[in-house]
Order: sequence, then structure tokens, then C-alpha cells
Amino acid sequence: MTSSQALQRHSADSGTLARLTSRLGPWPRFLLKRAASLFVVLAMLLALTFLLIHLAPGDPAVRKAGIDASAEQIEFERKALGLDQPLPIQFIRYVQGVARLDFGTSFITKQSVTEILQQRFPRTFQLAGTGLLIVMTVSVPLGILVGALTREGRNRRLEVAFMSLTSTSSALPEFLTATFLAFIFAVTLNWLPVGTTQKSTAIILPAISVSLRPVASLARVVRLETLNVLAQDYIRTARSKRLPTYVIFTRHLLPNVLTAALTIGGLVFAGLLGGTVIVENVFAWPGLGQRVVDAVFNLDYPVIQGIVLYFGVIVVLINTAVDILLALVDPRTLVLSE
Amino acid sequence: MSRAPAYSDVQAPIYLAFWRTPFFRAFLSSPSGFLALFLAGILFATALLAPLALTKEEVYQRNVRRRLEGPSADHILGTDNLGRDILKRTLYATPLSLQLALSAAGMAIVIGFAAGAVTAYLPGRLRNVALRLIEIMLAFPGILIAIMLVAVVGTSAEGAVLAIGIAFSPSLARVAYTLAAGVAGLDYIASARVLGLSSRRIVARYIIPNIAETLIVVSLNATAAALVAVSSLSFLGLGVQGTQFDWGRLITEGVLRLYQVPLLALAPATAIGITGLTLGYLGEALARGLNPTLWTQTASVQSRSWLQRYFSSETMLLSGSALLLIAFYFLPWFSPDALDPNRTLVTGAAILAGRANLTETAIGSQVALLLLRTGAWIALLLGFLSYFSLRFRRLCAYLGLICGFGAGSYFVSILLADSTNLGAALASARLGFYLGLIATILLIAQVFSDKSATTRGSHNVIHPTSQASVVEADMSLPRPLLQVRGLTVRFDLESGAIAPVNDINLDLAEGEIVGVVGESGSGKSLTALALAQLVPHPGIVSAHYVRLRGEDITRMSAGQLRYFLGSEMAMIFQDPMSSLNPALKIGTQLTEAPRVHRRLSGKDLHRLALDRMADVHISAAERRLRQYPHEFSGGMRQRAMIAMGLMNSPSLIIADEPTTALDVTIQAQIIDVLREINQEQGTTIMLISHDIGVIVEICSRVLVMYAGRIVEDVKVTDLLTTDKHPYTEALIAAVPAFDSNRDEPLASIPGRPPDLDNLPAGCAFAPRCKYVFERCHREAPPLLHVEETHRIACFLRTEPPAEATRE
Ligand code: SF4
Repeated sequence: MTSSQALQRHSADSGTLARLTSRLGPWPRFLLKRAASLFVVLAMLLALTFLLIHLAPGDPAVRKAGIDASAEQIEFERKALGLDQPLPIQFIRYVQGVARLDFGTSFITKQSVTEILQQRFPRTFQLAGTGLLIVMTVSVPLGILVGALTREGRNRRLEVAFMSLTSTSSALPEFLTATFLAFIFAVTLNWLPVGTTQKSTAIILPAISVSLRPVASLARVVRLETLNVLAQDYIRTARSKRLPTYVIFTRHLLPNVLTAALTIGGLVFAGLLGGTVIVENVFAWPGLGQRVVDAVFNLDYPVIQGIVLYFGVIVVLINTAVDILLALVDPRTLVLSE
Repeated sequence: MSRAPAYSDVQAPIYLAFWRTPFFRAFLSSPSGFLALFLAGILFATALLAPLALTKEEVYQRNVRRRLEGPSADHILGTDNLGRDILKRTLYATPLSLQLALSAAGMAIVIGFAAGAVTAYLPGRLRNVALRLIEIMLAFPGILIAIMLVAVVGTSAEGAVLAIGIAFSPSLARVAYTLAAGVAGLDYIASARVLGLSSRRIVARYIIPNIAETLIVVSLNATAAALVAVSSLSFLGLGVQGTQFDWGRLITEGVLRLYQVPLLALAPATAIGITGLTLGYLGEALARGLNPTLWTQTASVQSRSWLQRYFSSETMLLSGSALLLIAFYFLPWFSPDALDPNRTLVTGAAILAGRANLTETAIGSQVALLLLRTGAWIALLLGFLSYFSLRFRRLCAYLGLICGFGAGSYFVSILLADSTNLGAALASARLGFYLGLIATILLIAQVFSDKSATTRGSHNVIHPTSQASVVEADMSLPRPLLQVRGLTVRFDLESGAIAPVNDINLDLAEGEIVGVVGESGSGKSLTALALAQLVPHPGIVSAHYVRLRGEDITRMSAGQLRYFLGSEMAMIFQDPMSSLNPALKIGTQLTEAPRVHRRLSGKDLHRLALDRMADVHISAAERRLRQYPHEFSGGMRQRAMIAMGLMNSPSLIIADEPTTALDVTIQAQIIDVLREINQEQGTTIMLISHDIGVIVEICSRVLVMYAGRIVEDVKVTDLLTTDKHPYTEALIAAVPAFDSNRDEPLASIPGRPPDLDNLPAGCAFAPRCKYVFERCHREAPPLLHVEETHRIACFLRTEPPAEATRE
């Protein structure tokens, strides 16, 4: 099979990095590489967010000082922001600031960005976390169930229904889902509240809106993987051993399917985070997404920088975590990832 | 057009009219293609006509006296907070929304495809860096990148387009890279290069056609995504500015007033939804049209008339019930304001319970509305279910009737509510309700007493057939372990039914090793799977009986079967690598069966596993049990498979080509292991192979299969001496040096292997048989005894024709 071929090919491989690290075990080597790529990506993130303020039209100092500020005031702000320094120095200052968790202060509200992050992040986390929970608990069982029912071309109708349902719902943008859901459950039926965070049920609609799209796409992946695994010879072997169906599903199918789900888990989570930005604005959910849109509106650069960086770091960390988790679950990826 | 008459009566396949090309037929072969064209037409027309038909005044003129109104004759969907017509504004926003989406998608496509193609042709190291970059960008939420970019380029329609165009390009770049890298590696490109074609021609003639399908579909998807993303930005206030408005911006206004005028948000939201669907359908249909492998599949669909296709009951019911639901959802806004749509259910129930304390005006309508609402919901639900089951289809049809009653009485009651005849309004509503109730009861009673719609034979279960008479046990084997009569596997395909395994009768004695030989497609593997009840869907297995140790497994319940076969029968498959689960340790895979069937665990189980590993000569078993399959060599894996089969001490092992995937020296070892097991443990083995050499080496008896039937059943010792079936003769002749050298490629048997779709009338082997005579074309030869231990299905051997004997 391909994995064993890859294994052999790898052992014959003598790339520079492989030679350098060949004395290490697979795990340290793997972690080292992950750490290296984590570092590179973080550096890129820093550079990008730093450039943001310089690429943007207009003078940040003017924005900070206000439109009717005097020349001295603007000059003062320019100094305060460090804009009078050469670019490399500015960048170093920026990185130093980030390392101290100091992202500057908002131009508009004069609040420190760190404080904003502290205030807003728990809300976003709550929303994204609940969304992720929904995604995992719905799409994996759904995908496996539909996969099992439609294996070997059974239940064509179910397959068609599933495909059209998932393609429709994965094409529905979050703000539409949110609008429709709010209309049905909040306005028409009056079952659930919107526009508040006071009630514990208030999270239901935002969380569903955020998770619908990922649920649909993940369920499709899980179904495909289920079909794929069910067609494998080793499933036939398991059946020839007359194992009860639940054993076949939990022991032989589930690990493989979960691995597949995990592989795109990073992307799904990124999509989920993107969704929260929109949904927070529909439901007036006071998280980072709502704040970043406000900031863009007002060209409040430090806040944009801080929030984008924050989101970026989360995405990168999650992806790294997924990679490590994958390697734990399936040791073959340790070697294959190189 | 002027040329048309010239070709109209000529059957020239080259000049197919556009709508007759396979492309177009495949495009339209499912309702999605039809819908795609229809919806795309409407969208296009709206985009073109809306700015012409609607004056700026109509769209922008404020009318504060008529703000936030519900639907009325003047304003079909009501008015917004400034008294402007919602429908008109939604339509008016179409061209801008589409234009923004198309430009953003166009930009993403141009940037992405260019970047991807360039990446594919970069030298190795640089390419890896570029790929990694693309991948990193992909990991970030696109909308977040877009929002950040908007901050740089400024909040405007152009800014949003630019931001989305850039943010979306990485995913397109990756698709383009994959395609370009795949195409560049193809052989015919290389040969075109060798032929000296210019790069431009290579791209135009070879590359573009090959990737066109994917590119088109991906581009359409990107457009749909761009539409969503641009509207998202507009919705957030980061896109279209000033007096301009697109759908996203309309939704922003609507969401603020969702409680007052839901349509303000729902109308543009629906517009986005419809456009997204259109693009999705278009992509789906185009992919179908552009993929030649799907053309033939659709041919079978074509055989139904287009009316049947589009108006099949399920499509009708699905769309019908969806329409019903939508209609009834919006109906309340068209109706007298006495109705409170939110309370229908509650008040309805209260009225029925006689506890209502309402003004009489409302009562009649409330009851009717309750009926309608619940009816519509149930109809929708059943509509979905009806898609899967006939039973629900009927239920749904009747429910449609009920809803009809309901709707009728509803309108009557509305009419009467306006006049002052309240009693009549109430009566009509009640009438509708009771009629509906009676209909429901009748219908439920009828549907659930109608069993014919639901009884269906379950597949994959061996059940005795009634057609042919049971062939009695006609082989006097010492102690029969397995007796099979009339085993048949049928596949009902669209082209007709085929039987790759056809009426197999065989007996296996205890302790025997019997070979089954035949070309691929002779049905030998399927016979094994049928015996083990593992035939893949949609195969249908039938048999008079299959007795293992005297017990007929065709009459066992699923639970009995699992236990019985789990301990009495084991299977070994061809490819040990794919047959072992790569993610589980060998030990786990070895022990799971006895854990289930014999309830063994702990030390006993471990010792058993070690014993079995020793039986198949795997050394260091303790350590080996903790390893994964990929740490084993090929031969070792097959031994582990055999050890796994032995775990429950089965009386029968079915080995399906156990040596084919292995090299010759390993083959011999595996054969030795099998022989040893047979000798030491007395296990009966059924060895399936296309290689008669392997079979001769180890088996005592051989069954020769051809086109799904056993054509010969003979002792291996007689194989070289007696008269044989002509096919067996050919098989043996095809082995170069019969018992020594199996390295050499097999000489093949002249003629083509049988085509199960299209078997000849008489003897299936007749087209390839060198002894064929007249009778062979008329009748199929039965499998008959020529000696006590020798059965042949050939007229030449069983009832030789006069001339043949004379010769
Ligand atoms: S029955 Fe006739 S055609 Fe068939 S194998 Fe015998 S001789 Fe050949």
C-alpha cells in the first residue's frame, strides 16, 4: 500500500533536513519541524499585521489625533506611535510590544487593545466552542449513518437527498442562516431570544448559525470517508470474522473516520471562526468579530491589528494541535508528514 | 438557421443539433440542469430589466406615511422604514449584487489560477515554498483576511471586491496547481513536447480541454462564494456605501427591523439564496455535461420520458409541499389583521378544547389557520419521507387533500369574517376541520393495513428458491462437512439480471483440501463470498440449502448465523495488506473474534494467540502481536491472516487466492502452512485460485468453474490421466511445465473469457471449445457423474455423439 511505499521511500531519502535530524527519533523530529513551521507562520503573521498600518491610506497619526487636531498634536501622536522611526526599528518595537502582550490603545475609545481582547474573547470563544461542539456531535454521526446507509450504492434516494441538503446548506452564508433562524425561532415562534447575552438560551441561535455550514461540509467528508473505509478489504475481513456490527463500526471504522475528520478539522475551525465574525454582527453578540468590524469602520488600526493577530494565532495554534493530535492517533502520519 | 433544412432529414451524427449533443442531454438529465437554466434566465433577465423597468424614483422615493407596512396590493412585499417598496428595491439591487460578485470572483480566479499555474512550473524547492505559502493562507478564515484587507484598501464597493478577490485566490491557486501539476505530468503532454509542439499549442490543445471541466465548476463555485462574501461585507457595512445598495446592505436594514417587517430581510436573503442555488445547480449540471463518463449513465434515465422525469411523484411532492409551506407562512400577512400568526397553535388548541375567550371574528379563521399550519408542516415532513417510502407517499397525497379542505374553509371563513356572518365562518372552518379529521383517520387505517407496499425481500440472505427441483446428495463422500445445493448469486442490473454464480452443487468431506479453479470472472471468488454470506450489494444469494456440519445456514437467524459461522468458518483473502486493518495492532485483530464468539479474555486469549502464531511459524510472537500490519512483511501478514482464521478452530477455511499477491518463495511457504494445518488440525480447506499449479500441489480434489458453473469435479490424481472437460484440458495446457516452473507467465486459453451479460444459449464454453458440436449450441450440459468421484458438465464426456465415438 502507499503508506508502506512512502515509508520505504522515506528511509531511502537523504534530504538535508532528514540528514540533520536523522539521529533524532521520529517524535522529536516531528515536533521540531512543527515548531519551526509554527515560528515561520507566526513571524509572517506579525509582519503582515505590522504592514497593515503602513499600507493603509491616510496617516494613522492624523486618525489618532482626530480630524481637527493641530499640526503639533499630530506630530506628537506620530512620535507616540513611533512612526518617526525607521521601519525596521518600528517593527522591532512592534514585536517587543506583542511579546509583552501590549498591542497599543484604540484610536477611538483610548482603551488598551489587550483589555478589549480580554473582554471580548470569552464571548467569541463561547460561540466558536459551542459551534465546534455542535459540528462534531452532529456531523460525525450523521456522516457515518448516511455513509453506512448508502454504501455500495444502496439507498440512492437518501444519497441524493443528503447531497442536495448538504450542498444547499453549505452554500448558505452565515448571515442568511442567522436571519432565517432569527425570523423563524425568535420572531415567528418566539421560542428563543436574540440580541441579548443575558439569557442562557441566547447562544442557541448564533451557535447554530455558525455551525450549519461546517456541519454540512464535514458531514460530507465523513460520509465519503465512511464509504471509503467500508469498501476496504479489512472491513470484509472483520465481517468474515462475524464481529457484531457495533464492533465493526466502533473499532474498525470510527478511528479512520475520525482521523479524516480531524485532518480537515483545522480548516473547519477556521471556517467556524470566520463565521463567528459575521454571526456576532447579526445577533449583536459582543465578541471579537463585532469589535473588529467596528474597528475597520473607524479605521482603528491598533484594534484591527490586535484582533487579526489574535485570530491568526488561534488558527495557527489549532492547526498545530490538530497535527500533533493526528500524529498521536495515527503514527504513520509522523513519517508521512515529512 | 438557413442551413438547418439541409440537415434536417439527414441522420448525420456529426452535425448533432446542440440540444441533442450528449453534453446537453447530460446537462438536462436531472432536474437540476433544467432548474439551473430556468433560474439563470430569470436572474439574467432581472439584472438586465430591473434598472430599465424601475425608475430611480420608485426605488429611492421616501414615503414616511406608509413606512414598515405589511404586504398589500400597492406593495407586494410591503415597505421599509422609509416607506419604499421592498420588492422593487430587492429587484433593483440585482445587477449591482451580481456585478460585484462576478468581479470579485473574476479577480480571485485570475490571480488564483495564474499563481497556481506558475507554482506548478517553478523549480522544486521554490515550488515547495510557494505551496506552503498557499497552504498557510488557506488555513485562515477568508472573511477575516477580507476584513483586514478592507481596512487597508478602504470601505467601498471596489474595496470589497478587491479584498474578496485577494482573499479567495489561495484556494483557487491550489486547485489550479493540482490541475496543472497533474496535467504536466501526463504522458501525452510529454509526447507532444517531443513532437515539437509549441507551448502555446500544448496549452490550447491538450491542457485546457483536460482541465476545463474542473475549472468551470470551480469558477462557478467561486462566484457563488464571492457573492456570499461580498454581501457579507456589505452586510457588515464594509462594502457598498452611500446611496448604492446591494442585497447584503438591504439585509442589514432588514435585520434591524426583523420583528416589525420580516420581509425586509427575507426578500434580499431569498435573492441571495436563489442566486447561490442557481450557481450551484449550474455547476452540477455543467460538470455532468462535461464529464463523458457520465453520459452513458444518463442514457438509462433518458429512457423515461421527460415528463416522467421532471414530474415524478417525488419531485412533485417535494416541491409541492415546500410551496405549501411557504405559501402558508406568508398567507397570514395577506389576511385580515384579526389573526396573530404567532399564537395560532395555542389559540387553536384552546378553541378546540372549548376554552377560548376570543372575539368570535377570529375563531373561525384561527381554527382553519391552525389546521393549515400544522397540515403544511406535516405535509412537508411527509413529503420528505415520501421520497423514501411508498407508504409515506400515499399518506402525503391524502394529506394534500386535507390541506385542500383546510385551505378552502380558510378562505371561506376569511370572506365571511369580513361580512358579519360569524356563525357561517365558524361552521365552514369546523366543517373543514372535521372532514380533514375523518380523512386522516381513514387514511391512516388504510395505509397501515396495506402491507403490499412495504414487504420487500431483504438482500444478502440465502433463501431457498422454489423453481428448480432439489438435486439430491449424489456424492458419496465419507463424512460430508459442507453440502451445497443450488447456490446461485444474482445481480439485477439495469441491463438485465446476471448470475455470476449459477446453481452450484458441491460437497466437501471433513479434512479435505479442495481446490476451486477458473479464470477471473468464473465466479469462484463470489462462490466463496456467497458461502460466507458476504456477497456485496446488490447481489442476491439463493440456495436450496447450504449445510455446514449438517446445519442449514440458510435457515438461521442473523444471531445464530453470526455465532455459528464465526466459530465454524474462517476466510483468508488475497491481499493480506489491505485485508488487515492498518490502524490496529495484529494482536487486537487476532483476538477480537474469540473475544466475541468464545468470550475468552486475558491470559487465556493471549496464550491462544501465541499458539496460533506458532502454528503459522511466526517467531517472536509476543513482540509481533504488539506490532502493526505495516511492520510485517507480505508473507508474514498472510500468515497472520491464517493465524487469525485459526483462532476459533474453525472446521472450514475458505482461502480466496491466498498466494496470488505474494512472490513465489513465499507462496510455497504459505502453501506449506496450509497443508500443515490441514494435517495437524484436520481443518477442511477450500482453496480458490486461478493457478492450477498451486491447486495440484496441495489439493486432493479440484472443482473447475466456468461462467458461474462447476464444469468439472475431479480428483487431482485423475487430472492427468482421464478424459477431462475441454476447458480443464485447456487450463492444463496453458500451464507450461505443469508441476515445476510457475514463474513463467501463463499461456492463455484461446478465445475470450465469457461475458456474463451475453452468454451463449447452450454450453457457455462452446465459443472457445475445439470439440464443439451441434448439440452444444442447443442445450446446456448438466453436471453428471462419469465415475463415482468424477463429475463433468460436457456432452462430449457424458453422452458422446455418435461421430465423436467413431473417430
Ligand atoms: S458441451 Fe460441447 S461445447 Fe461444451 S465443453 Fe463440451 S464439447 Fe465443448
